[in-house]
Amino acid sequence: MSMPTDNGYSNQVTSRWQPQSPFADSYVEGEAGGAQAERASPAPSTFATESPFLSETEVTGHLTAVDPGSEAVAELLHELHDPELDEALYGLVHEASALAAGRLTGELGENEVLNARVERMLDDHFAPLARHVEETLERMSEALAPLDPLSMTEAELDLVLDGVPAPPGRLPPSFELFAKKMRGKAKKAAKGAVKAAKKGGAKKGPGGILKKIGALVKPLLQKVLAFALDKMPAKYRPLALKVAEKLGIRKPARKPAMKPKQAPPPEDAPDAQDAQDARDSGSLEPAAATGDDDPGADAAPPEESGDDSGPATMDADATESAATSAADSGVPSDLPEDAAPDVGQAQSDMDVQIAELVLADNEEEQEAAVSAAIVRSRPRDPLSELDRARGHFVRRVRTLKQGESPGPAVENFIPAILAAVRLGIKIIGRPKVVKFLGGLIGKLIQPLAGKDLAPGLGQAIADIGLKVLLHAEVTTLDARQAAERAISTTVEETVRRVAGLPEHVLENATLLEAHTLEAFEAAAAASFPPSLVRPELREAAGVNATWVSLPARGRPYYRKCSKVFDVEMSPQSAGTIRIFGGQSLLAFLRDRLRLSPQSTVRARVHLYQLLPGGRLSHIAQNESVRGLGDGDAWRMLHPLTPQAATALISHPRLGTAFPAAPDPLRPSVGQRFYYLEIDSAPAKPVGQVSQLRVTADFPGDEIRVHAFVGESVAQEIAASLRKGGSPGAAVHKLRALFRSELGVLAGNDNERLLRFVLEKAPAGPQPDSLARTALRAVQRALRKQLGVKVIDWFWARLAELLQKESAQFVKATEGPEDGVTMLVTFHNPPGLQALRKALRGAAPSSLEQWPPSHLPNATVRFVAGRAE
Amino acid sequence: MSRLARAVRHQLARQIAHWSTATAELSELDRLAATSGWLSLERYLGVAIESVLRETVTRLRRQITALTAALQAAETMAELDRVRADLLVFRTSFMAAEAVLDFYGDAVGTRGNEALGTYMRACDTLAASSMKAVLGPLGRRSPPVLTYVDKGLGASILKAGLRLWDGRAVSPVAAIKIVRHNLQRPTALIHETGHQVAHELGWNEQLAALFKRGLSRHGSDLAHHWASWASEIAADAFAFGHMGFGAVAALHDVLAGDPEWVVRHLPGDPHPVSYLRVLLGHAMCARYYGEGPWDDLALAWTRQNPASEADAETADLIKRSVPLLPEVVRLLFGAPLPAFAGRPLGALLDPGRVSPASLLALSREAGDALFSSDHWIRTEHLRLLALCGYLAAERPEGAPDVQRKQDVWMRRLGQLVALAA
Repeated sequence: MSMPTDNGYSNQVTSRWQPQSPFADSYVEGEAGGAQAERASPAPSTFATESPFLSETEVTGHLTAVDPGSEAVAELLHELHDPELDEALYGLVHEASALAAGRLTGELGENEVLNARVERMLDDHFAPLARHVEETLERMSEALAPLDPLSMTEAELDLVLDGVPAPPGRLPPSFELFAKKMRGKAKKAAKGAVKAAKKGGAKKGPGGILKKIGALVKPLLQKVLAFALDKMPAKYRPLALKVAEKLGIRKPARKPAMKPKQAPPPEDAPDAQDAQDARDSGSLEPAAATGDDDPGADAAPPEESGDDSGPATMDADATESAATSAADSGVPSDLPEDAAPDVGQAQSDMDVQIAELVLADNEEEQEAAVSAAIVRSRPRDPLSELDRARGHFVRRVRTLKQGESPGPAVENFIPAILAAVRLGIKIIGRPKVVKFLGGLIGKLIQPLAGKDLAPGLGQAIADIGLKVLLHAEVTTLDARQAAERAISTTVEETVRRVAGLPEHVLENATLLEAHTLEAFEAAAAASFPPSLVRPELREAAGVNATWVSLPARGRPYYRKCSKVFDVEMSPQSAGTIRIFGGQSLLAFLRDRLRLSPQSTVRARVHLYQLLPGGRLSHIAQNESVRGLGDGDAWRMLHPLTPQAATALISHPRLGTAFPAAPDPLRPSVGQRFYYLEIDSAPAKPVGQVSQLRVTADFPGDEIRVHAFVGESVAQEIAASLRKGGSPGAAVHKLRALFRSELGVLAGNDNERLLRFVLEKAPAGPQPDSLARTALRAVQRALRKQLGVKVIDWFWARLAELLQKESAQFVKATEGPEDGVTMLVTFHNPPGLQALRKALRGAAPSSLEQWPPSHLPNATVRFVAGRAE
Repeated sequence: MSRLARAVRHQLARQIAHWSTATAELSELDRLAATSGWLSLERYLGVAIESVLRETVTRLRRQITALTAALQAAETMAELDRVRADLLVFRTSFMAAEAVLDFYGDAVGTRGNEALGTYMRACDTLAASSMKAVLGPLGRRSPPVLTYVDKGLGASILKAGLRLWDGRAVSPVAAIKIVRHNLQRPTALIHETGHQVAHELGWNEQLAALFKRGLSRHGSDLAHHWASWASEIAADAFAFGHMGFGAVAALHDVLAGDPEWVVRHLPGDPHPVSYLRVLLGHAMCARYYGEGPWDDLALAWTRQNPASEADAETADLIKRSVPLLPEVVRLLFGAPLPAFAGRPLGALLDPGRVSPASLLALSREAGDALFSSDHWIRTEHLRLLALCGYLAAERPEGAPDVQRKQDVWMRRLGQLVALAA
């Protein structure tokens, strides 16, 4: 084996070196076994970029002082964001996707005429919805026209806007949630406009803004349409400029900043100089763009990992140029694009657009904002490119002659894989890395390549996978295609994992080789029948199963494990498994499925893994298991973390890594999920799951705790209180109810449950400096401590009210609404403003007591049902 | 082939063609009942029924195909005669199959109205829950339930697992008839599910044997009579265990007909003499709840239906049986039986849970949420029915209000079932 050269790579490495295959002897010439590197968790090759403001309403950047304008923006964006609108959009995407699927089956997007026809059909499908929402907003605008909204209170505005009748005609049920949520958003925008106008931050009243929001509905639905067709619409960028300006982060113009179709990396990105060198010299190191022939040419380096994301971190001029260029030329923007649909981004974009409207100084600015929003740019279609490349790859591998290397075929395949993954842009500009990977992976799959393409492999997959899941005869062709799919999936998964590796690994051939082998072993173990994989690499000892790509016809969106596990789950075990939203599986079983929290539950566990372009609704729609078979049933799927895989089925390696706060609407390729088929449970969820979340509103100087108690527990508590039970017993029950969330809040990764409304931070230390790292560590520690403190305050105030006014809680349970929401607002909490300064990078105050010992004043309310 | 043979063949061919068309018609299930009726069924219930109906039609089709082939192959008069004989068999099969299809078609058809369909789904759930309460702890699965509306005085059941009219198909569900006058007071449902549970567990036979043994010291003839009523008494006990006094009051109202009928004894009838049956219900209440409105019910019952109206033999039977009623109740709820895994019925189905005191405590605990909260409706629907039955029986003047509440929660239960299906 040749040694790496100074620059980290050897040109010969791929031709002389013999990698150890992960496959059992049947597919390996020579000795099997050897040292096994510890498996790395698959790098989540996320489809979704961070939402610019709203996954957490924390706006960061380079302000020098707290600015009332930026406070208003932060508050407005926080107000506008509605998680249920994401779900409504998700539902629309799914519905349109199902409509399109029937017409695109087998075409895989290759027929442009057919695609155009389907797009028109979906346009027509959404037209009544767009009309309905536009007309509703127009009516709301007209209702305000004769009034003076600036002299009205919020309650008066609510009264007027709520009284506006909906346009005549009934919407299909699937459109109703979206229409309702858009109406709610418009109302919030109107109130935001009034508030901003009163503070002098907005020049226009709410009436005109409402009409203009109507014009943003069609572009939003266009995105839904693109998502439904597995395409990626260009992100909204230009309108972020006004917000950026209000936040004080817009930099002076620096034109011309770039060549057309080529975005420079941010100045502070560590790769910037290297990238420039690479472009100049053609060296091995990363180039941001390599030309039109390269599928990754449109991609630019991502924002620094771990840095705060959002418009404030963008180079505003680069953004403007790139977007203008894209709009002018009709080609995709050079900015990093999501690798697959992210419906949350669509709402975030619209919120920024609305903020633009609210903050506009005059009618012309508003018009310009709307015009920019309705520019239609051609969406990217990386999945069709991947489909085509995959087809080409398997044909090449199948037709290889004896001894011929599959390396070139892999090498040609890699760019298409990377184009569908956001992180792929780190590699796509490094041709030698691509070549290296092609050679190495080619060697690894060589035993499988050739004329018959491992007939044993196809047969094994057919026997333990296809026949089990499809309940149908498996033809030779089916078996061959399954084998092809296993090989291509292994290659794709390996490349995706490598794409997530840090820079220092990509720059070091030895490390890259080690990590690639590790990635290939893990990918092969997940794609090949266990009998063909070395025992120590298998995902689950003693489980003779394989993952089968589904749906069987058309583009596969997910894989299913051919083994369904029969399990008995104790309440204790279910209580330790976290699901989406930070709740425990026990809470889901109790609140959503109404199962007794005292009983052991028998279930069949079905395992799934997402493929590129896959959404949870694809699994829910295509599975015929009781309880699935409908896209809306995605809510019944849970993240299969290693911990869940251990607790449920005792096979930790079947689990996959998830972020601390997994989001069901933004899953990543390769992540796994499970569905519990429970005979004793209703097929569809019948209630809402208990939930606790906290919002620290720094500009508003208050902290709000929103705790929803599911119907069963609410009724149990009310029954106990009616019988004269003690408030202490009620608090005890509530503490048990929220145990999982309390654990999250008191932990290091509490962002999802503890949201900050915070204006931009002033300029801080350099990104990679010790000072910056230390500052972030301090901020993290403070966030954790705040989470712990707020919970203490919450219980104290809650206990106080239950002691005095338990009848209020009881009353809230007596209506037909599902559950009770406990709303606790702490006013002027001690230490909050000092914390605000510290979070914005100022030196922590030595005068301020921390954590604060004083219990702040609070307003506590019990509301029937789930309150926002 | 002779002219006669040709003539016979022609007649047979026409008949077979006719029956072939008729068989094809039967396979259109939507013609048996409106689509909305089928949609009112929970999916598993619809699948179970549809599967049996399709199998029934498939058997007919196979028969008609065989007949067609036999006719084509027949050349002699003897062969044609055999075809005719087979055709006669087919006609009988067709009629029996039609009876099966009509029964389920009619039953499903009564649920076609959306509001009624929702209500009947609630009845399905009540019935299924009542069986699950006893069968579940014994490790037995409850069969699916199809409730339907029909005319008449009393409810009835076509038990799941029984052979149907065509002698081939097996009843896939417990099909329970609710009579119109009792739609708003469906406690009789639970009597019918008691029959199904007894069938599943072999309870009737064991109870009959228990009565024979336990009551023999009072005379073998008396013990024999009580043993012959075991199946209906078991169902009454089951209904009482779930519904308490409400079940007794409802039974009273169904049986409160002509006094002569009340004291009539028909040998071989599995129903006890009505006079005794109501008093047995009273004895159950008295044993578990002490004094209460059931005492007035019994007082009025015996006054309005004097035993002296009975024939001499029945009057003697009544006279000797009345003192035994407390003992019958003790045997019913207190004697261990193999059917209940060596436990007594009372250990599986405690009538104390539906005592007036327990029901009123439930009402106090749940407050106004009792009839509107999904939680209480899902977890306590059986006791809600018992409570409504009790309130309506105890305070007839408040019955309309109770009725309104019952209507609300039952419709909600039906909706919840539909949502979760």
